[in-house]
Amino acid sequence: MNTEGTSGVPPLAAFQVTVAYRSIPVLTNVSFSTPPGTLTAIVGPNGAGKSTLIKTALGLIQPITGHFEFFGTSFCEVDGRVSYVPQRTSVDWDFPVTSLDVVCMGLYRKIGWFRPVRSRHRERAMTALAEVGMQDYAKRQISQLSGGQQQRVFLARALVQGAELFLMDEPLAGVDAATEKTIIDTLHQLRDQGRSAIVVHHDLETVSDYFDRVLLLNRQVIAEGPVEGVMTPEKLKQAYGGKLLIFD
Amino acid sequence: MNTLEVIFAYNTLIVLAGTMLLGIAAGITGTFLMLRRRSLAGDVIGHAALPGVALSFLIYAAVAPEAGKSLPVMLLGGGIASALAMLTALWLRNVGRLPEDAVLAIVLSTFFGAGVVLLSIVQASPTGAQAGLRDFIFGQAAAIRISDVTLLASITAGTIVISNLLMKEWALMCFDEGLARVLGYPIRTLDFLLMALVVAVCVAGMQAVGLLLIVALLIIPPSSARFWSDSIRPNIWLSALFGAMSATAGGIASAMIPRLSTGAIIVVAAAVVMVFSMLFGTQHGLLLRWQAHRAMKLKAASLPGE
Repeated sequence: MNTEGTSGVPPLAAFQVTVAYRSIPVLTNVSFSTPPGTLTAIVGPNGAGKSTLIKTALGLIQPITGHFEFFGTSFCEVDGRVSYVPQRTSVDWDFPVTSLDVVCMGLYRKIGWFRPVRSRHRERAMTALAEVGMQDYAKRQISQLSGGQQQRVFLARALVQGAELFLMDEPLAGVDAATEKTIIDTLHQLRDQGRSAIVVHHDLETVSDYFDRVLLLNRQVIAEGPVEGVMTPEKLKQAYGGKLLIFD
Repeated sequence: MNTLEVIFAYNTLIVLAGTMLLGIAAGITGTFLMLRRRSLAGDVIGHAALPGVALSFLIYAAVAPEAGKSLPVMLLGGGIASALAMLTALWLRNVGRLPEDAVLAIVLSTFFGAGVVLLSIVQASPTGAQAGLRDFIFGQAAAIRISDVTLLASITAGTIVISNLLMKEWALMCFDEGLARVLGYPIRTLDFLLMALVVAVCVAGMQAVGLLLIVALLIIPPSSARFWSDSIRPNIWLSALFGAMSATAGGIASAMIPRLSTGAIIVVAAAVVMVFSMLFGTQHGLLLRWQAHRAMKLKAASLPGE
């Protein structure tokens, strides 16, 4: 395994990032840095800018000011070390492809321009599908999968890239318990190998079980750090306002 | 002449070869256009060619009054107008707060309206009445000459080569643009290549199918193919086959019945293939669905009740 990821350079760091849609600020002056070999949850109310943060880091949205660094350098320079799992709803599941085809997409850069997908690539994709327990669904057209199975196919596509940092947008939204367990187990395995993940997460109750660190966000960074220090009633109240009921 | 003699006459063979090549190119290009959810862009590109065709006729008539009309010049004019329309649509979408379908409708009708205005100027001019610009609107496959077949053959060959080379890149862009960008693919360039190919097919097909209905040849065959397969490659080849079948049917009709609007026949033929595919398609055909539904019902009925 590549050990560069554990050398202490943060897999992702943000420097005073501000993002706006037209004139409405979505993220203001966001700075943070994640240590290697950790699982970080991005938590915050609806409209807090969680997805925007991930998309901006990946260059899908242009920030007004500020910048991100991946492994101490720009995103363009870290070819292949970062992979992205978009929200399940962001693609058309009626598209004429099978689960295996989707996983192979994670290999397209390695295969190279103009070259077709070969059987050795499909074997690698099959291995990734097996890692998330989806090997029996390889030949299924993707609309015939349940929401949880679709999410697992996305995870397999990220795994096959062999990245060291995984950026995931709500991978646990609307999935079944088995899928939730598969995804979390996989994330923990990745962490044990020294790799990192930054995950947009919506379920406050499971944050401390699943993740090491939390980035509490509401259009700006409310708090950031190890779970115990961030998931306190005061800070959550600060992020969620009066909308959150905290039971003692 | 009986039917067979008409079909095997030299001129007819030219027409059939031309329409078949066009059907293949449109079927392949249209598959990606449909998967990219840009079907309406094909309609805009078709309609927007009219002012370009009319204007280039007027300019050419002014520059070289004795030369009559020049097909390459008019096609070039049409292509430029189509490309301008697409750029206008892109710009309008980025600049304003208009929804994409509204933008496409605005651009389509404005360009086509301008085309109709220019067309009436052409028809009022002494040479314009015989210019045959009507054929560009409704299509006249019988007008295809051997030089057109050469052009169509090169466009079709180009389409096959490019779509094979860029198969996985275009598929990824159509399916998940976000991942494509994260993987570092130049989406603008890939998108531009696809749209350039669509413009080329539209312009090449203008004479045979007409600019009003060219979108049908781009979109109906890939839609029919979707009922037969769940993988991209078979979808592309089936779409090419359906496109070739429909276009050839139009070509035959055009050769047999003079002054027939070939475009209309091609669209009707494509629609027949589509209805057949909807009913009998081996992947998503309605018959299959009814059968499965009935089997399910029988199975449910045979289960022991309470």
